Amino acid sequence: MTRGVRRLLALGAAATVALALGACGSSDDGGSGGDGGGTLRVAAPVLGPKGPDNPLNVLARRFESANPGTKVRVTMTSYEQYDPTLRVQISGGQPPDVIQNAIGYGSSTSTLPLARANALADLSDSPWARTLPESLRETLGFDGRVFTLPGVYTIIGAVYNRTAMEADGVRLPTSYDELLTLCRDVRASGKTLIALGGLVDYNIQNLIFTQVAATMSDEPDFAQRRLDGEVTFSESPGWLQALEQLKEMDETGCFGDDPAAVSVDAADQRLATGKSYMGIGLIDRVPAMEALNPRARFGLAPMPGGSADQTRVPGGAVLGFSVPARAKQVELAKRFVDFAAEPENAGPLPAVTGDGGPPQLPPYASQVQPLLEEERVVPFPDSLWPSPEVSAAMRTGMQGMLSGQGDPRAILKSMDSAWSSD
Amino acid sequence: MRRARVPWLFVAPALLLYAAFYLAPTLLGAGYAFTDWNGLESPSFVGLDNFSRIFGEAEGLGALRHTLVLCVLYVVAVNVVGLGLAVGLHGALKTRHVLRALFFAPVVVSPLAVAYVWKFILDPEGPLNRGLEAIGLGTLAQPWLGKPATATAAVLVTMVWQFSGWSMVIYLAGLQSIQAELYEAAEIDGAGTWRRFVDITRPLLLPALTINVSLSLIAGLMVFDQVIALTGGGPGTATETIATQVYEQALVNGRFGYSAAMALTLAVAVGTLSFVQMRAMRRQEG
Repeated sequence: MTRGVRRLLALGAAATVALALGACGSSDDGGSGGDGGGTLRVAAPVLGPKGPDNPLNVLARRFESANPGTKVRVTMTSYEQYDPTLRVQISGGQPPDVIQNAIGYGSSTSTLPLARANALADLSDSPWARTLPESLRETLGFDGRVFTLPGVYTIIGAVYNRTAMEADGVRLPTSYDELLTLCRDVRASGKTLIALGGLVDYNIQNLIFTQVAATMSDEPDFAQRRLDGEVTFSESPGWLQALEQLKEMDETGCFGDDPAAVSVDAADQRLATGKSYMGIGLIDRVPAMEALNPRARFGLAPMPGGSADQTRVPGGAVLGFSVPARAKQVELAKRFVDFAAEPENAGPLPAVTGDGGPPQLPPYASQVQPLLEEERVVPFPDSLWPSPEVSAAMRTGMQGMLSGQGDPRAILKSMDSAWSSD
Repeated sequence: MRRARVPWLFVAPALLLYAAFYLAPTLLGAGYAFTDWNGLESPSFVGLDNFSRIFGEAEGLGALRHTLVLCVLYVVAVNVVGLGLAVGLHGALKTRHVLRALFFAPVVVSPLAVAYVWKFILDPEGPLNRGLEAIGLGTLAQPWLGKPATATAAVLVTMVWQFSGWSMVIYLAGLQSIQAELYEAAEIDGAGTWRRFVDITRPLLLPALTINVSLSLIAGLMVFDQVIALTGGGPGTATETIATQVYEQALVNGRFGYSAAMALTLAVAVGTLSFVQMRAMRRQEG
């Protein structure tokens, strides 16, 4: 019995005990291991519009045109399903040829955990690897080696229903105090300012990151110091303030009565129909909302800090293209990644530039663009967290707080515990 | 070829498949429970560390506690409802065949699909709350999936709603095997409805009860689909169960060794509790 077969068998056991996992759904390319020749399998989470206009599908068609005889099969899965599915495929020795994964640490399929376990092919010899921004290198590999092409730059902010706000005379808040006042006013009018689909705890992560971006201005190097073991979450005034503000926002009614019971679909409907004015999300949520309600216009704005000067947005390269070391078509996959790195092949979402300049955001995010110019963009905190359990502790703790359990200090303590659980 | 070997030849292909695709993975999985395997690198033996973490940390203990609470409530509820339905539909009711089919229908639907329908129903702005408001009971409207107590109840109701028909069918089979003459004789002797139930129905229904309790016990301990679809283990960790932790730890956190330990713990719990319960009830059956 080969090692690969043994691993597959063991995975089968771990994953199927309790006879439950078969029902939890999986990517639809699970049985595609037999492809060979000129077929390249690319796996990615759903980002941006679905269908042929999706940037990844556009890129796949261009690659096929540039490489006659090559077929690119793209499989997109919802983000919640994507990570577990990909992890099983990689652990089982049957990965896709190209994967889109998070850079840094943060999740079990992020670049650094996979690269350190020799599960990713070394892409250091690629031409684009020499022009990468220095600030990103630490999240793309180690020992001077590069394993991921940063391919998607994103921003988290307040996705707002411009049409509904204009109709009701509601203006975007520019400070935290204004935000609380607006929450009360909107509540009094029978609506909710922020539609939060808190039933899915992944959705809560974006909310926390936006708040942390605004409260950590006095601790700019906290993430690196936490990684070096010099500080803890429990000791961070910025983290505590962020969670206390979120608690205050919840108690003020910013998220409605029962945010922990609201599904993402229900929250999207509220925002699309104007029952709520804002939601928290990635930049690609704006076109998704416009698709949901084509009669309304939407925009992306920063969540306000204590004052306009303190306002920051979390942003940066979040996903990139990697090639699993055990992919069937490693060389073809590397060619695809090199192709994706060429500037003319960048999709509609802003790509990371190698010249150090800020990316140009789409017009609907024009209110965020100045923050990029002024370098008031903070990296996603979890890119330097060594284990996905830290973000899981943060999300479940926050979800618990939204349902009346726990408090900010308990959440920070659980994040520190999760950090040291290895 | 000796005749005694012939049956084994027929059984061999199925046995081989069973060994290759069930026994071998199960045994290997059990072995990984004693390692720190992350699914990517070679595992190292860690002894009982994974098990001490399950029983020593709030996360594992919480999942264990939620599983046991949900299991006990489910076993009681699904059997009470199932028995009630069976007794009600065992009589001379004209519509009994249609009603039996209706109550059994949810059993054949995917638990995941059923849970998603209930998730829609239980949304704060969903049909249940809207219905309560429409009939003047708006004060009873709840964020059903957003509070720990009501979220657990929601998972329980979803499970009971779907599987009480299954329980009903088993009880019905038991009821139909009881000879009508026994009831007639008891009636002549002056036994009332309750006395007939206690002295005839209950003892003769014990085999059906044994089967039902065993099946519901196993289903209750292994609850996964309904939790994942309805609450994802939340709010917070209020509805996390051992089975959802097996999934989370392996496929989200990449801790395959720890996940295998949880799976092994679950398997041992299911086996032990089922065995004890079967022994106790068989003894009662006499």
